[in-house]
Amino acid sequence: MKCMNCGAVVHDAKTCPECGFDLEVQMHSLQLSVQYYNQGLDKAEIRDLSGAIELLRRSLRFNKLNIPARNLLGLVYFETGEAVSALSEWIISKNIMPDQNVATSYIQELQSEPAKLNMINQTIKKYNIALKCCREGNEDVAAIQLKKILNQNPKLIKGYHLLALIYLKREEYEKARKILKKAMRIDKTNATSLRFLKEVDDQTGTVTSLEPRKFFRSKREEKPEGRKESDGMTVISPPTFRETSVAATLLNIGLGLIVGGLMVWFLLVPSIKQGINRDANEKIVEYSNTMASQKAKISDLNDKIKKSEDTVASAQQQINEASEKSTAYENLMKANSSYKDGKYEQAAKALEGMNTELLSADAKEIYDKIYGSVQTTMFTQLKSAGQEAFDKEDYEEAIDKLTKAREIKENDYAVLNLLAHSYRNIGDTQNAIENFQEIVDKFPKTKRANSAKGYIDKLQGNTSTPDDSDDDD
Amino acid sequence: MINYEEELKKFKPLLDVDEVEDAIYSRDLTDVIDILKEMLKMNHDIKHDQGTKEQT
Repeated sequence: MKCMNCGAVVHDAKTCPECGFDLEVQMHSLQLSVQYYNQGLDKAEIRDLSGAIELLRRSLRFNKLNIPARNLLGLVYFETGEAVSALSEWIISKNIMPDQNVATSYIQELQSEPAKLNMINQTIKKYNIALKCCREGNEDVAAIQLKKILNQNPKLIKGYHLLALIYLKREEYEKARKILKKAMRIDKTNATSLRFLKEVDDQTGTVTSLEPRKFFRSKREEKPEGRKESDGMTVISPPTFRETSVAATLLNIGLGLIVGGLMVWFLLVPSIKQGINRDANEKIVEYSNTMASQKAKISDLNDKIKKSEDTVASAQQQINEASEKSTAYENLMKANSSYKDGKYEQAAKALEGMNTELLSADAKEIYDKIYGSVQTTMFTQLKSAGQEAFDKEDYEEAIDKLTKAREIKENDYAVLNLLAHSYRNIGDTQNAIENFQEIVDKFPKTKRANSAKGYIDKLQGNTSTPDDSDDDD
Repeated sequence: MINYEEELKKFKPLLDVDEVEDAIYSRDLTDVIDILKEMLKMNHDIKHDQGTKEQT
């Protein structure tokens, strides 16, 4: 201690050995400072931070050189989220006592984590903005901002207070209670927290419980084993002796089995089920893949079958065409042979129904030559035979020959006329009319037509008499 | 009953890190011993003044 009068160093003396100054007041002041520091330390240890701040400030008022008190005050400020106040105390402390001062390590620690310091600084700035918003009436914005701030810096007790105040204004008392309880966990005796909490309690009619939930522990603590209160006296009873019987052992084994079974049921069975399901799923996938490949194979085989069928059909068609072709050439050869022998009718039969498209160009030329010659010859023969039969009044024969002749040459009047009269003479009126009508149609506005018309009228029962038939030939 | 407006007035902006220096310089670090020293000085000055007057 230094004498406050002369500055001389004094050790455990009530008066200064240099100037004789009475040091009792100074010593008392220093003792009070130490005493308040101790009390502040006690408060800080039980997280009564407001009380600790008050006592430590008082300690420094009696002795500003009380380094532990100043350092502790800084620490308590830091704990309440007021980093700047904490830094101020530590910097002053370091200036007073540069060596062997814990404040130096605090400052270094804070400076070694610039990101954290920056984060704290940002939250302080945001808090100030939120406060400004509140003053401007933007409580909603402020509330959102404060929630973010408290997530980043959960020690900022003034942030909790401001948010609680906003909730109180909005009459959201339960939210305010929740926030204030968080604040109370940091500082148990903060006057603002207590005042706001009282307001919440008054408004809701429910007293906020600040005790931590220690249901099981408190029960145990309330009933210590062997200790009973009886008429104001504590009676200590001896601990009960538990005898282990066979039944108890069996019961324990049974319980063990049940617990084991339940563990198997709840832990092993789901994993087994999962394994089975996984295997089943794998098999399903495998089968699906197999089925897909089988389907693809079947599809390929079907395609092959279809191709084979097409090939067979095409081969068959080629065979048929070849057969038709050979038949056509065979008939052509027969026709040629018959034609050369003068058997025109056989030649014509051979040529009948022949598919000329199957013939080559040379063969077609031969066909055309034979066909043209046979047709003319046959027509002449058939016509003559028909005429001859008609003259002999063999009308059936005449119809046969003349019909064939008409098939070769349709527009021959003599054939048509003889045929019509042959039908008329055998009494086949319908065919007779048809043939006469054909004459009318094919030779209109001629005498032949008029004559044929006359016969038609006659056959149909009209009175007009036609001229005789074959005048124009 | 808490008055929102009145309570809000009690909230003061917090100092940020940039303002530490100003905060330190503006701090009043006077303690009881400083006051006692001041009182002693004043007392000494008064006695000195009185002695001077008596001499004159």
